[in-house]
Amino acid sequence: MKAFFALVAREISERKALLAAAAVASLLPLLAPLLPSTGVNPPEDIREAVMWVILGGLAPLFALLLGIGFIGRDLSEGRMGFYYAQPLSGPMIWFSKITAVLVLVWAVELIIMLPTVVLSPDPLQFFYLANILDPYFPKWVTPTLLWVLSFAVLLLAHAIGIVWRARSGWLALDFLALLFVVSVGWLSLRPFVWMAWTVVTIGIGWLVVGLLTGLIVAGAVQVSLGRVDLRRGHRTMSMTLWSIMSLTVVTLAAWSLWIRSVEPRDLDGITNVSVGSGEWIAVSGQSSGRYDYHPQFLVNIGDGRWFPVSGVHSWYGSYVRFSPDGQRAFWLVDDSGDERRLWFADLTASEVVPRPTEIVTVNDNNAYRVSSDGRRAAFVDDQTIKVFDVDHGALIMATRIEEPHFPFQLRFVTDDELSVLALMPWKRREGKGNRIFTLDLKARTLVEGPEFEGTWSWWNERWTLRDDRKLERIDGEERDRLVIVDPGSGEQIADLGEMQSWFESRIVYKERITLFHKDNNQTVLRLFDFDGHLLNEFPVGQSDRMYTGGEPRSGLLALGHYNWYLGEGRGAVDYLTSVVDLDTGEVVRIFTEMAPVLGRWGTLSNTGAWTPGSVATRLLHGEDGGLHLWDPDTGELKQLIPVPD
Amino acid sequence: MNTTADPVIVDHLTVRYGKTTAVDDVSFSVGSGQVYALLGRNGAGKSSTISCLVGQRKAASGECRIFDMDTWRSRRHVMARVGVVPETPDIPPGTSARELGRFLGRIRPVFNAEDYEGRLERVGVPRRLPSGSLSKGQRRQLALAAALATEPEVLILDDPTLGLDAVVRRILLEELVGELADRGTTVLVTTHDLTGIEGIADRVGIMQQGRLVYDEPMDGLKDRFRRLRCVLSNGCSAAEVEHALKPLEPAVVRVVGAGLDAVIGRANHDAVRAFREITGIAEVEIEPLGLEEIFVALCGDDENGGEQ
Repeated sequence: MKAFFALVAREISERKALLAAAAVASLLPLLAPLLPSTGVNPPEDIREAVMWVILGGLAPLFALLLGIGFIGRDLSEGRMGFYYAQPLSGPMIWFSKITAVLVLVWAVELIIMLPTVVLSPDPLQFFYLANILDPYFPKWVTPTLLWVLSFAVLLLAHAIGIVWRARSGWLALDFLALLFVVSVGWLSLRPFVWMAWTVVTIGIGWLVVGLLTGLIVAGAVQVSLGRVDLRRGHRTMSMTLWSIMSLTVVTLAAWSLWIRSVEPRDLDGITNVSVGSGEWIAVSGQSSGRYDYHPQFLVNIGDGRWFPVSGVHSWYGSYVRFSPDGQRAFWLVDDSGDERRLWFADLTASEVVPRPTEIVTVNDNNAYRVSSDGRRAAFVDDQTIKVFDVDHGALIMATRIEEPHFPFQLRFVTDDELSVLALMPWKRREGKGNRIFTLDLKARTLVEGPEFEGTWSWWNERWTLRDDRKLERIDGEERDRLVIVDPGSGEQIADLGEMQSWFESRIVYKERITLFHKDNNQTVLRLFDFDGHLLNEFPVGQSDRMYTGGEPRSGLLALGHYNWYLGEGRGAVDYLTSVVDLDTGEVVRIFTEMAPVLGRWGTLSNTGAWTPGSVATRLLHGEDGGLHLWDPDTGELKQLIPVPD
Repeated sequence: MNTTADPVIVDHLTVRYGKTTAVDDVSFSVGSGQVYALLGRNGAGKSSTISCLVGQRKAASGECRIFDMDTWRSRRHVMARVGVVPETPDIPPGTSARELGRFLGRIRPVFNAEDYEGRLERVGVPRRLPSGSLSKGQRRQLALAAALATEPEVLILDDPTLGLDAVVRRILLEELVGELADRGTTVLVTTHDLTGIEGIADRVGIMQQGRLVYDEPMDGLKDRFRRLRCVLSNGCSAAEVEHALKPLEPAVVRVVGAGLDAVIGRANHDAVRAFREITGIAEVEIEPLGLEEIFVALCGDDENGGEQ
């Protein structure tokens, strides 16, 4: 170690002029407040701002210059022989030189900061320890990050400097190796971009660690085995660097493949379930060791068939959806650039195969709809409504709505008629602004409905049209109200009264409307017909949040309850399931730690999934992330996912 | 030729730069306490040989051993016992003589600071100035002082007098003689100062175009090579002269007017007598040669220097 420190000290001493330059630079922030037109700001703020600018510029710049020269220049000017003529090992020479340069960069930072810190009214603010995630993070983090950045710059500059000076044919191999590493790295991480940022971050972190390790080891090898021979140094450095980087990207690729090889049985927590009218369901969830990668699968819970639905941005809310007849499943997949392509699967086929369509959308939103048989799909792209033939990818009709609206909601009333709810939430306070447009695909016409009073609820996916009447939510002074509006005239047909905030009260249930109403700390489930007549009401207890599930058995309505427990550091949610006997009004709590899937994740109204007794109405999502199938007749509860041992 | 007792052994060394062969199958050894002068014109391959010998460059084939250690593989251990003065002084330019002494004192197993300081004093090298500010001669003196202060068992000097004036050259070489005599240090030196090295070297190797063409004791070399001068009359047959010269192993033969001037590598009595007896040859003179003359005679017709 004596020799190591002697070398470090000698290297620093050799470049002590840098420290003098830093000392001069450190005085510049002190002069900055004297400049004209800076008088409005406190001098300490000006000093600090100038200091950060100088620091941010000089630290990486010095690292770059030192990196290019600290060995490369000695080599090209024939001075490395001095070190090799001493009883010093190659790694000792390399590590002592690089340590010296790092110490120099660190010292340069400290010197530049010093006068500004000393003259600061609160010098300790630069050094106090605090949570790094705190937005007011301690100011030592910046120079530390700069130092790490400088380290990377230094290593890269050294490698590039050697390659540049050697000018050997190995440069071509370097480019090929770089191409290989970048390609494999990109292909390994690309499937997770927009889908699993933690995986991407870990992957990039792994690449950075591999690169830094590669550069450090390659530098040591170059100094040890290349010695005064620049070309041999380049060769040995490249071989080492690319070997380590190849190992890094190959392990990354293997990790990426392992993450993507997940199967439904590997899921240990369901985060979303889409349901159709049949036995096919789409599940996405998490799997141990796969971080935030939430794969999606289409799973037939009857016969166990499954296939992965890849390329879907699940965290973006882009889930699989089913055609109302339940015979087709649809999803959007990243295509190229901002474009997404519609994929589908025919669920009636003996062998279900995902198929891409010719339909591409540039829109991020999920506001596309398919017709009842899944043969037509409607999109909104930049105020233009487009309807496609799914099987052939042909555009059936496209029409532009000139007046700016956002968002749009689409519904196929029939296969030949599309209703478009175009909202203008920004006009809400002025009165109206919302319209319903109707596309007649046979007549190829667009009919504009009258304006009607708006909703703020742009995220609302559960409006519906039945008999030309529309449910809408009105933003009241304190409570939300649910009303029925006639889209033909824009007139209100019925006012269903207040509904409890955050309670999913708008599910249309068997041509009836459910609404949770709060009455003296008691939640009451009210049932209306489509003319707005109150049919029945049931006290259903109290929970933080409730929603209407389906009918697991005809006449038996499932309700989902959530309760949040935020105390004692827990962010836990308790799930409950109760059922309401629609004949007797009896409410029975049947499951704790479980809630109905239907209605939980925005399954579209008026689809077969809501058929009483369907598979979808009997699915329950557990607090533990599991998925279960309930048989209301026998009371049997079958665990589907995770697959029981 | 090589014996394992020799501290320095170069064994079938070949050095290539791309497709160019700089050193071609060179073998020699330096005995303990011996001063070996490796000579050759610029580009003959001397520095490449030295570079391999001190473990700074990997040989394409063959090996270099010092104290029976492979100098490429065991450079660190070898360098603990070897002093090197390179052709171009490579002391970091920002380092002063004083800093250098302090540094070497910390990393070398042996460093005689007193000797170092004394030598710098004698040759007038300023101790506080960065080496980059010193003259070429001072830098060379500094490098030599640093190498000698480590009291090496083997000293390798790559053209140590290059760029020095005659006085400094003389001082340097005389110092060397004194030092080496005292210490019994083994020395390998490459130099173009043939006059200076003539009285110091025990053995001489001459490289030409990457090959070691002569490797002999200094005395033997000087004994062997002679200048032969004579006058050729009209009746003299060129074929007969050429035939008679052959046993004398002529290195250079020049005919200027009626005179013949040759450097011969084998001046034995019988062959010289036979030459004298050729009809038409008169005034035959055999003279001894200095190292420089021998070198010029051997290497002077090498138009391309050492370039292949």
